[in-house]
Amino acid sequence: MSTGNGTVTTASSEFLSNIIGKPVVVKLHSGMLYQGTLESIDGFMNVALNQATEHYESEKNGLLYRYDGDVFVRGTQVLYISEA
Amino acid sequence: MSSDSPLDLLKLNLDEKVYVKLRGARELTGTLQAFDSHCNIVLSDAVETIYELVENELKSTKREAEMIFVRGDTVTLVTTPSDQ
Amino acid sequence: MLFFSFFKTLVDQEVTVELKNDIELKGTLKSVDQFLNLKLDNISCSNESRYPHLSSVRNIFIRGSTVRYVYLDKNMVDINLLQDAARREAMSAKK
Repeated sequence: MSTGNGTVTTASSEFLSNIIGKPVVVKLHSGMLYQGTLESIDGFMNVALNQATEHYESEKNGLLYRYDGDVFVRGTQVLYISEA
Repeated sequence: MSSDSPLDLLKLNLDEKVYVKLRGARELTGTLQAFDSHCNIVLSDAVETIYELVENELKSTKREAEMIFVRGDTVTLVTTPSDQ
Repeated sequence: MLFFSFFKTLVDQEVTVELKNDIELKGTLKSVDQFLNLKLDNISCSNESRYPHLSSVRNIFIRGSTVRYVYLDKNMVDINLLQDAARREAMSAKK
């Protein structure tokens, strides 16, 4: 269930709050894959990552870019988030 | 340094240089002037780069804009630039 | 609501709208609504040779969702006002 301000109040929120500060993988609809430390996440699946690396489809496919600053990824583009 | 919502990251970047990745192999750098929860964005002194494959060669086209409004639905990622 | 208010301050100014299908229209912004649908008057198409079908159209209603960019001039916007409005919007967005 999702409320107006984007806070989720189900089992998924437990997962999401439990993985904060952990290394995660975020996959987008475009196939882009981001690996980094999860700074924060909201109910729209907007994500903030630290020390993110960019890959296409799989981490095995080589490094496309390493972001030094914090990275904001827009929730509507997110396919999945998993603990790395 | 950690903030409770990913969108707070964008707030910290107001009046700072940002790098915005868009759908369709486009990217923008510029000074962040405004944003909202849809990721609608206004940038000043922006440079847009469009990447295209022309006869199997990667070609990039640049375009400058002194002030530009970007509709949020094409935004995929926002971060601080580091000479991308 | 931020960008609705922002575009309301741009009414009667000349703007260039780039659509997601690459069509580019320059014209006077006549009105805007909460979906950021736009009404432009007296339009000209910057890349008319590629899109000749718009050459006889003078005013147009643009569905907000089809917009990619709106190009503005620096002197049209009060940067300090806009940044402050964005900070306030960010505050109010999280309850």
